[in-house]
Amino acid sequence: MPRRQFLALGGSLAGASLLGGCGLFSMDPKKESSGGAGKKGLQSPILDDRVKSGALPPVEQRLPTKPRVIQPLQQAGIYGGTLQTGDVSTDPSWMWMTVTHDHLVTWDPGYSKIIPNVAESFEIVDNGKEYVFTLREGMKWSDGEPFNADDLLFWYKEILLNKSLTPVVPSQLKVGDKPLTVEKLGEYQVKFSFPSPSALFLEQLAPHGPPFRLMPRHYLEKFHKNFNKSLPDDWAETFLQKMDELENVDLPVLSAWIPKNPHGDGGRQVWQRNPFYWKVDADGSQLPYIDEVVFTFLEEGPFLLRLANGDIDFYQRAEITVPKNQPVLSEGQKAGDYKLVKLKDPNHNTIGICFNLTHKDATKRRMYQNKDFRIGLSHAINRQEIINLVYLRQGEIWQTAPRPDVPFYDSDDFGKQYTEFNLDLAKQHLEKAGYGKLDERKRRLGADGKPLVITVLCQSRYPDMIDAMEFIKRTWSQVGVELRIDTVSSELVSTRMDANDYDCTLDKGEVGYLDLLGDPRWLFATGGSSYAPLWSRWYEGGTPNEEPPEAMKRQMAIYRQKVFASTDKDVQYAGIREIIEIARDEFWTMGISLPGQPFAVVSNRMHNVPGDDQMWLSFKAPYPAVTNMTQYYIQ
Amino acid sequence: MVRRILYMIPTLFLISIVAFAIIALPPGDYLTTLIAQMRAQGGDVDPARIAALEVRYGLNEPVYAQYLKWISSIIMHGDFGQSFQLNRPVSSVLAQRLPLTVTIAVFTLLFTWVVAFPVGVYSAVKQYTLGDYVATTIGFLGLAVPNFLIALVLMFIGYRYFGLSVGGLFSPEYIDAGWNLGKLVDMLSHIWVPVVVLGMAGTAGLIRILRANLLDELRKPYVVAARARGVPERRLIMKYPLRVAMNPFISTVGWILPVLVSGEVIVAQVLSLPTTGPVLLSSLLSQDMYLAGSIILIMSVLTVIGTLLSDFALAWLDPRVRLRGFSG
Repeated sequence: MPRRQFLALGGSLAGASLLGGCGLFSMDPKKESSGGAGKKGLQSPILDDRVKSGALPPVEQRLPTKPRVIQPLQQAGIYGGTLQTGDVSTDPSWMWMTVTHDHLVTWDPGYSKIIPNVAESFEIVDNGKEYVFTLREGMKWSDGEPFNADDLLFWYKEILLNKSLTPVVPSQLKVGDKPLTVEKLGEYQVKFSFPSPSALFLEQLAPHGPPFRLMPRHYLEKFHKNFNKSLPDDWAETFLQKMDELENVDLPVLSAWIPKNPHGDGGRQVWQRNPFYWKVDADGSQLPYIDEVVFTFLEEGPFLLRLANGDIDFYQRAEITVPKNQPVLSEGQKAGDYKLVKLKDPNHNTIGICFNLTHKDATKRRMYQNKDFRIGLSHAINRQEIINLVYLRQGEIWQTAPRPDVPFYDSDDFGKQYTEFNLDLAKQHLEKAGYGKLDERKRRLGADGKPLVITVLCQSRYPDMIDAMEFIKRTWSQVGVELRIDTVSSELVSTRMDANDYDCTLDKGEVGYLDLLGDPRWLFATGGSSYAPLWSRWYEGGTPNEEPPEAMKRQMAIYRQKVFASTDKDVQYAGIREIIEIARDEFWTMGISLPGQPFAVVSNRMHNVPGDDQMWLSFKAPYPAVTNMTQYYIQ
Repeated sequence: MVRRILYMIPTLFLISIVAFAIIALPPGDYLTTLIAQMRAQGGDVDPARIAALEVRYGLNEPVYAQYLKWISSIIMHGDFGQSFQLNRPVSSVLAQRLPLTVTIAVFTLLFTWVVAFPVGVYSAVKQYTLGDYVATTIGFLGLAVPNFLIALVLMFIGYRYFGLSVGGLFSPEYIDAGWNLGKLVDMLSHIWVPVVVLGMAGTAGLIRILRANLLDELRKPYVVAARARGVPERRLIMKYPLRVAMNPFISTVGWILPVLVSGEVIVAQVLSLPTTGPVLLSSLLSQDMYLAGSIILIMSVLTVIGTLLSDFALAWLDPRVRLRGFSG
């Protein structure tokens, strides 16, 4: 049995190599810095030699006059160590949410307000018409060059206003058709002005992938045609590559860690400490505490095994840390020496059911726009059964309403309305909507005399939704409505939605917490919503479009006048509350349940990491970055 | 021979057109994928941003224009274009992944031969013995069980019983280290999993073919005559029958690379290997035209070259092939 022998050989070889790794072939270059003993010092010991040799200036010269002071969560940490994390495939979002998150402003760790970050302070003038940012004096890029107002001006004049680099100005940076202007008030002061108030500008600067980027003028000038006439005509392509902080390891940055190899290498990416980082702890010691962060890119299966094995120090992303994987990960806690930390979910729903209210077929459009029709179908969903069987009893029955914990809406009536599973009630509503006729097979007939058939587009990457639809298919057929489930790739769903060629689609109930203030897609049709493409385009100025009904137009007007044009939280909250009331009355979309409890995997050697229910699984407020990963330490 | 090589050029050209066209066939393009991704991440799908990306990636041009742009820069400058998804030149993506892909392919080929050859000979010579049955049964199992399933099982065993850090070809501590004995041993300790998985089906196939061919040969009169003359059994088999029976080994060498590379996609995906397979899959999914087109083109070139080489080898091994080839 040669094959079996080969397996045995392979196994023993593997064993031998593991043993060998300890000494025989020892060549591991990594030296874990001990730390803990003696005085902590003002900088990481790995920088000492470079400072002694003169390659780096001493720490006090590397820091700005007023560094941002981070209060460690539990206690001051020690320097050193490598944080092992990873990602499913090479999707960079987890990096945006961890190591590269340093914008002018950020959310506070509790996700309640915007606070200064790169900017030492900011001032909002004239209800959000102007924003004045004061930068930190003496702050430096990761290559030691000074960072100041000229860098922001360079981004504005030479990147944003350059048609080859930015063909179209992102909508967050303009009001109507008019882009903002950026002026230099002093070496460390910059003013952003909008033609009319843009009250949510700071909220839009805080998440990952903001429309506005801090870019090093001294480095990028070399690749810009306006400064270097010898560049070829297609210089823009190269310039954009040079701006990519994940790919270009030479690009000076402001983040705590700097990539050592390009992201596109594919297997993994190593990030090392930025010796010029501009934050300190309460003792004045330069952050970050952790010397190195390593991302390993794996597929879901191996990644789950690595997590369960305790090979990963920190991870929280909906690809892996979801209720479905919780049993495996709970079981591994002891052997893997890690713990599961409970997170809060800003999503308001597991499944948002979105009928196409602007369907291109007039008969179907009338049907979907009929509120009684939608109410009838909502009553014909057995939500508890879906929660029990598809979501492993996690979650709570809920419509596509704001989460119960949002500060600006505290009643349950939106979330719980029409959620009772009652087939008789459902039939009554369908009859009231004008679909009272049944054929001999008990199928409900439409206005054209044909049986009602609804085709739902399910994205194949959400298997839970497909399972849930099977349950809905059964209960809907009991009230005479046929559901056809069309499982397709998410790209095809996008294409069909852009073409306005679908009956119904499903979406994750994203943005259900504070983030819905800046992105009200579930309250009325706007970018990212999937239930009325033509109305949404009317609002945004795209084509083809169609005027929405009165109620929605009122929502849009309130949003523009009260939420978007006032920086006063009370005015904003009052406005959004009104919009929510209208959304409740109109019942544009329906939902199934609040999502179950997500969690993070945190190794026991990590410290200063927030505990249960302190972090959100959020894109708009990128956790864990906003909890100041620079003050995490390893022991 | 020169003519054979010249024939390759139009073949490759056609392959490149077909490859590019097939990638472009499904609805949408890289931008659709990007938009879907942004939607999924709760991002804003801003029409302004979409317009900007369209200009940037040149995706509003028709497919043939994109193809011409791509193929002409390959021919003129050896430039395979830019991967949309990874935002870096395709050539650097491939330069990084091809060596390991080829390493795995070569190891797998060797494994297949080392196992299939003796087992095939044994089960032909000792037909219908216990050993033959055992070898045949294992061979059929290898053929029947899907590769990715074996990969999953081995991976689980590695994790559960050996504490191996699964995924990839190296342990974390060796990834950045320079090449030396330690790293080599570390690679060998990981590479056997994909090699066994990928080699399993091929081995089983080759065993069957070798067994059948050799059985045919062994009954031919020249073998009987040689045996009657008292030629030792071992030399008797090695000298001619085996050489003839080896024909399929040689003639399929050319296919082995593409088969491995394509069969490897799923296995590499499951095992998270740093080879071209997963890149090909993700580039196809996201319609990253230049990257996917380039990988398919390179695989086709390798296949064509492989077939050429195996033809030459076959001509050397079996003179009859040469005679027929030149008279026809």
